[in-house]
Amino acid sequence: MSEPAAPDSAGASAEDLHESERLRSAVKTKHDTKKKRLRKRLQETLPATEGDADMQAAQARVSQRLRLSQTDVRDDGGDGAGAGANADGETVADSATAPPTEADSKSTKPPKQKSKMTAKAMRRQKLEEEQRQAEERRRLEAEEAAVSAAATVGGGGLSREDRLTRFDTATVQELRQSKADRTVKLAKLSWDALREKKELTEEEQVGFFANAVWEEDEDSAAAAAAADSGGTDRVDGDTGAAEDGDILVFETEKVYLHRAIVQEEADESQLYFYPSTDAQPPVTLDSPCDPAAEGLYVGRRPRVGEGNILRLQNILTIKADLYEEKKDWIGEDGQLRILPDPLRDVPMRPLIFEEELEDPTQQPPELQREYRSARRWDSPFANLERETPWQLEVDIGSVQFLAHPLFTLEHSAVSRLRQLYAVYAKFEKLNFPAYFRDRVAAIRRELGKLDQEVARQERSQQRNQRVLADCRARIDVFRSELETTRQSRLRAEAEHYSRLIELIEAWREVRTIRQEAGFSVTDIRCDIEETVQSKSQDEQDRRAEVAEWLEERRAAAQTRYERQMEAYAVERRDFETRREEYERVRLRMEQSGLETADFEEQPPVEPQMESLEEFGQQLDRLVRLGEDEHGQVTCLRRQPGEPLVRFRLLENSNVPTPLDQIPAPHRQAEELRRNKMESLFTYCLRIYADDKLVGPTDFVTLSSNFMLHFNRVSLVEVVQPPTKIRLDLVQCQRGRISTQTKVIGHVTLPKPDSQTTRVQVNMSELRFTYKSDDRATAAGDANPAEAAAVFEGVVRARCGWRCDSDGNILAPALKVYDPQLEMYIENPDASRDKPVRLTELKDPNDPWYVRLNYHGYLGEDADAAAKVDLAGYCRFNFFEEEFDFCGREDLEADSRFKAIVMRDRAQLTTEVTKGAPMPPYASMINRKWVEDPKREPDSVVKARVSKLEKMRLNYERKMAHVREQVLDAFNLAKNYRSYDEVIKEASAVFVNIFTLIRSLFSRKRPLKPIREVSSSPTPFTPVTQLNLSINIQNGADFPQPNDKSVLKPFVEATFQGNSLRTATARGTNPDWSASIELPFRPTSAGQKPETISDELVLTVFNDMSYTQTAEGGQQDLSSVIVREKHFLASIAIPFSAIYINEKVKGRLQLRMPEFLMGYGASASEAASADGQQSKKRRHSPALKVFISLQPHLARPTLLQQTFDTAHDSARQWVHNTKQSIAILNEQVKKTRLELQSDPNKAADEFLYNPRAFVVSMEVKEVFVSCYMVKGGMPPPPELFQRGSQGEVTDLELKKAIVARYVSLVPFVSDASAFPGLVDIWNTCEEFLDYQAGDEEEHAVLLANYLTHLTSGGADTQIYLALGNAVPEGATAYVIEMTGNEKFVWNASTGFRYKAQSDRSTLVSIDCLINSDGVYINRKPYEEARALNNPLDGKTHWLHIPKPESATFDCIQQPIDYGTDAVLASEIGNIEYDIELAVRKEIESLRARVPTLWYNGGAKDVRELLKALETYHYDPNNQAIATAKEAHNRMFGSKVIVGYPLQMSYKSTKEILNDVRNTKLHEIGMYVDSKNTVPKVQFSCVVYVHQYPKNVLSIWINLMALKK
Amino acid sequence: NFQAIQMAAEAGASSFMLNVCGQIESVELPHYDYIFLIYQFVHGDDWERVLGLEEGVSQLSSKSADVRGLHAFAFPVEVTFKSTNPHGWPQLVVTALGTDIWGNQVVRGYSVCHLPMQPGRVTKRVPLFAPQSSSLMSKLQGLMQSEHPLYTDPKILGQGQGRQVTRVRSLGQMTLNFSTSMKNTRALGYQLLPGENFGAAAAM
Repeated sequence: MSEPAAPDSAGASAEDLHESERLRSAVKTKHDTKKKRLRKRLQETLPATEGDADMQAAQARVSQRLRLSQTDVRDDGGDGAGAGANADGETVADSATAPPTEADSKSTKPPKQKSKMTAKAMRRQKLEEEQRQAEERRRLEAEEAAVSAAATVGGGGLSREDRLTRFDTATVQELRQSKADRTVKLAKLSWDALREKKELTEEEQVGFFANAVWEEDEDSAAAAAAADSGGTDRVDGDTGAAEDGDILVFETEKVYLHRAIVQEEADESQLYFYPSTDAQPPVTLDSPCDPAAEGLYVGRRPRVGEGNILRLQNILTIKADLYEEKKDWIGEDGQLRILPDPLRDVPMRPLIFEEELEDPTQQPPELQREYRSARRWDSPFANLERETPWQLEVDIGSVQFLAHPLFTLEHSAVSRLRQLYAVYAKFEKLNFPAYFRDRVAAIRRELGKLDQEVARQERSQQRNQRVLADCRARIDVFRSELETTRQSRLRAEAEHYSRLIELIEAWREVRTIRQEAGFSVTDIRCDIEETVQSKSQDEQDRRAEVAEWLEERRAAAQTRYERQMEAYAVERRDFETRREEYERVRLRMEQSGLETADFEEQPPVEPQMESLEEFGQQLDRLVRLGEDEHGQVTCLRRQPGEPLVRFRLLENSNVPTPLDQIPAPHRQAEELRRNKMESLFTYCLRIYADDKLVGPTDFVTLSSNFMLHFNRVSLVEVVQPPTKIRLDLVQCQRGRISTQTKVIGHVTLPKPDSQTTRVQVNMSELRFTYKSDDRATAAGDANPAEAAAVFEGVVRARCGWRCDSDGNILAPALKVYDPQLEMYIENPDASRDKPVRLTELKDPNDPWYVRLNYHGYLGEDADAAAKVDLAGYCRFNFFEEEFDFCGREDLEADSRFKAIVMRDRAQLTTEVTKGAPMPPYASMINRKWVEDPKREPDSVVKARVSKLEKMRLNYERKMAHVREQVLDAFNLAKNYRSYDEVIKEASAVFVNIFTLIRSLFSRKRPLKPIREVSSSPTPFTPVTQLNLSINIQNGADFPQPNDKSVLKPFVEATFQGNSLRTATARGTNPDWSASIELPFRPTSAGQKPETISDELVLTVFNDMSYTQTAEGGQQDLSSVIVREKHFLASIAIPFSAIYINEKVKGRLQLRMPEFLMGYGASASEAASADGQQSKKRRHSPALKVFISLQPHLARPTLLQQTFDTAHDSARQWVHNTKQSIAILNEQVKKTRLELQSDPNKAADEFLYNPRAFVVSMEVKEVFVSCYMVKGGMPPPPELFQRGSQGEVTDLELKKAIVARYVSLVPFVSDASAFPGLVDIWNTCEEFLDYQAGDEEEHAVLLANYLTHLTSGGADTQIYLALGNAVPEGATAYVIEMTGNEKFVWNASTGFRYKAQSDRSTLVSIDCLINSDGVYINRKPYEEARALNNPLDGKTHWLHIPKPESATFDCIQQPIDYGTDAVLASEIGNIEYDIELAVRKEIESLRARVPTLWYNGGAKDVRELLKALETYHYDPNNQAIATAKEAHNRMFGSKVIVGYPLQMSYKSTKEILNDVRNTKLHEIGMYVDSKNTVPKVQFSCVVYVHQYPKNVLSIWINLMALKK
Repeated sequence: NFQAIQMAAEAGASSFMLNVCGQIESVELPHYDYIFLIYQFVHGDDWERVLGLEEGVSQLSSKSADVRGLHAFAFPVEVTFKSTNPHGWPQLVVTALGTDIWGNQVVRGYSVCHLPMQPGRVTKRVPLFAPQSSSLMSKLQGLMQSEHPLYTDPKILGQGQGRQVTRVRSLGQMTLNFSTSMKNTRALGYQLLPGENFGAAAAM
């Protein structure tokens, strides 16, 4: 029967897919129609009951035929359908694949059908027979029953013929109704009958329910047979049927047809479902079970809510264990196991009488599986099923004519003015000039930030090139953007200006017309506001603008030039190499006698810096005159001094001149015109929704200013939202006889989105134009002028959905299928309009605004732009500021926040807050907590912020930054805890048997001294009462007084203003054996003791007490004992050094002035007499002390913080090295413990902290050898120039000079700033640049210099030594080894000691460093004096060589000594300032008595000081001798005390401290009985010597002179 | 209400109060018999304990004879804190101690939980855990010497730092209930709504 379909399908397979689908569906339709017709015909011809044998034969034939034909179909046309091998039970029917699926399922027929056929048919016939018998029985019963049952019986008892005829005539409704009634009743009856029989087996039940439905029935078989016989005429009939539109027959039986689909004119093939009339499909992977074949699909289930099923499924699956017994609630099909009919206790199928059906091949409606094409819940049609139509409101405001045939001259002028004004007003609202101004400012800000960033990057040592490049690129982009924006701004301003001019012109025109005519017909008036501007201010602004622009251009050009130069340099180098190569070749060729030519290539052109002069002029012209480079005025702006003008148009504020006041010549014409206006025309608007007229408005006449006022809201009811709403303006001209109507314009209203009500929409102004060119009407018209009329106008209208009284919008929420997202989405119109909504929210962060800004300006989206106020929304970093809950300034100003931050950083301790919790309000914060302790400004700094001070400040700023980084690192480290800190557990003990046994073998001694372990140290708390215990044992090498008297020295210890002194001893090597205790009080609560910078000063004085007799010269009651102290030497020890090292023990080298007047002459004379000794440097006096804290304080915990390493590429090596050092450290610790417990070895405690890595200024760990330059660094050659005496050539002297130079760089400790002994190591360049550093910086520089000086020498090795010294504790020294001669340099004082000498302050060495690597001391407990050469072997030193890798390159930069020399005049100023400060200080200290100053001889003194400084390395130099002689001559006789203090450049405070410590002011501070003024004069001379790199040596010569 | 806030602010409400009264109801430690509890509070800098015990030591409990192995304590915890700042909200650190076969006191478990932040009644179940020995050797040693690993300071459990070095084993559970009331939180601008048992108690 599908024979005709086959060629069609075959043809279709060649076509494209769509075509084949269409065809196939057509074929199917035909096929079904055909089947039905045939069936009807058959029923007519064949008798209703036929013999079984005939039947079977027919069936067999049909199925045979079917198989054949369907194979054909599959072979020919099946390839298009091959993909969809789904069974027809598929629930999700993709609209695209549905037709092929069906076709396919049809074509793949089970072959098993045939074999089962006979058995099934027989069983079925038996059943049917039984049913029929039961029915018969029932019918008989029913006939006998009461009359009440008659209707039922009548319905059920219709004979087959009856029914057939009845079907022919019955309407569909009737049929359905009767069928429904019948089904219910018959089902009941048949079930009862079955129940009575009782012998129905289960199999039979299943067979009954399942198979009867799907089996091929007689009718279709017969039809097939008929089809087999009747060939060609059937085909004809088919085509005819298709043309008849016979499809409509199906409509009554259609499964699911939505009316919306009809509207959409969807492909009907997708909408229809064709249940297979064939046998069940085979079990495939896609359809694992056919419910019908399984016997499960019976009847209709009672409806159970989907939610309930899901819930139950959830319960049964998720909580399976809990509901074990209920597991079989869910059937195999995943559905709840329930009976289809709750009224029955056995599943059963409704009884169907096939003969009732008008089409036996069709499924009876009860058994038809309802096909619903899969549709999404959010389908576009979901909302359309609605009875009441949607309501749209069209609000028509007014129409303003801009051109009208009845316009007078004035009207048209006003109309033009109005249009201009509309543009102007819109532009003014947008305020582009302001927007661009904002933008320029924003870009400039951003540029500034970037510039800073780049500068910061460039400054930093380890700059990231990529970041830098990125920053630069961004700067370029920003610069170009800035330029563009500036241009745009100019243009915008010019545009604004020109609009204004135009507007004013237009207004003038209106005015002129009015004046000329003598009357006015319009009611418009103009209001012009002028704001007077200062011309000079404007000029200034312009100039500033030009300057800024030019500056930016220059910066850009500069960058470009630099880049070009870089490229040029590369190119040039290439060129040079090429040329050299060429020359070489040429030379060779010439030598061999070949012809040669010159090198012809041109050198690359050196780029020139772009000249900005021309650009500047252009810019000037452009900004100030608005001229471009050709001198054309392109953008005229408001000229300086011109007032700011604001223009406003006022409507209805001017009454048109009444008729009687119009001058006579015009009156008549005007009257006529006005009459015409009022009477001739009427207008109305017709509203069209999708070209359907939904309502015209009332007729309205023109108002005097050519406006039509409608002011009407018309309601439009729609079933579907219209795609557009059109308004047509209709003009009716009232003639004498008839009314002429013509449409003079139409506008289209924007379609409202589904969420917009009328009130939410703004009136949109829509323009229309109409030009009548209808000649025909013109000819017939009375007024030809009007016929060729031009109508132009603006319609104000809006359109939106209506709100009902509940506030529901009566609009369809239409969803639209989005092919990209593959889902139905909300109306895209709504999303497109969304930003417009946002304007109401005024969210400045929405990046949409950026687009809006541009679009608005470019005119792409003028409507959207018009709705947004652009001003104030220019920003570059979205989401930055608005997401701060408060501004940065607020945070900084908030003292509570500050206090919390400080507490977090451990800067605000509980001691300060006294344990009080943080107050809840900022106002309750104690100001003292958060305010920085302000240092009093240095007086010298205050007087003149000299270059030096600036350097100092720079250094401090830098250090503050570094300190912060280090603090952060430490705060991080605090969070880290070791296992031992957290967990206490049984430690696995390994019993060392030997130690147990040793005690058996050790010698028993009667006395076994036990080394007392110091009592457990107390932790530092601010309340601890602390004393500094100073034990002064003895001194050595004090100078001998010249007068041969015995030196009577004593020591005065000063700490925090408290002084105590020892008794007076005698002799130059005195022995005090005194103990002094000084109280210690913390300066501020909560300060960490390691950061206390107070110094303990030990000063040695000569006790010169004598009895001052009264005038008479007799010793009597009036005589006074004058206690005079003559300063000899001193030393200052910072408290932190004592605290960190727990104690200071050993010989301190005191600092003594270069010479003391009245002392040491004999010694020096003796020295000079002895030629051998003259070379030797004088020993400075030494003091043997033991200083400790009482009670014993715990050493501060040394936080071993690891920082990020600078050697990124060698992390593994760094790790390994650290590991090996740590192992060594452990070993040493163990040895130390052994040593300490061994009474035989009186080993001192020592700090051992070998380091191979130190922290650089970038707070990264750097291998320490990287600080040492191979071959050293050359010291500035000026150092060795000695004017008239020529250059110093002696190596030893050179070393001394260099050491002096290094020691003169001011010493600024950074150790105390950080908890836990973190030293920041600066490079030498930084060190000299900042003019500040501590021991290691001095030592590194000195070591580098010495390496350079000795590099020519034979076997001198210079090492940087890290170790312990007295009194500094952990420090850095320089060690020089020449054969057996070993020297130790203290770089911060410039002293040199012999390593073996007991004066050497270096106590122990942790490691030695040179440029090749680090030698770590394995035996640090052996004193530094027994210094071994590191090259000697591995027994003493662990050598860590520096790896040969680029990452370990030396980090030192060459030092530029030449720059930034401080001017001589500035030196003079410094001298003067210091002198003044010193004098003031001494005066203030001697406030009780007058202070007299002796100013003479300053020149001599300065000569001497200069000589001392210049020839410091050689105390016996001729220059010093002569200067000293002169000095002696001058002051020798009257000096009481006199000494020059020499120091590096420090702050004034420190200088004054030094001066105060000499106690000079105490001389002559007695007042005797007669109140005579002490006969003492003072002299103070300051000399500052300048070295390269602004290293200054300050000399202060202090003298007390007899009057 | 706003006026009440205003008044509170004007009256100088410089801190808010947190009163928690509750109970350590029971501990499920089926492995161990004879345990007792010590509780402590850990709180931030801005917190001050106004009333209540800083530390509490419970009775010695023997586990129930049934399969639950439950230790019922019904040990009251009542404390009042005063603070200006919710940062460092107090936490309850409970240490379960027991005796081992040698008769020495050893740690059986720790647990920590925040005091409730909402007014109202809350029941909490908090797991217990105990640190593990770092090595087999020390474990043996610990068994011999009854030195099981323990935290040097249980208060470390109240901080987030330093725990990464420890290894712990979970043991059982502890059931607590708290009734919380607060004062002045709104006056200081903090809004702490009742959470789990809404409406059980009123704020302020």
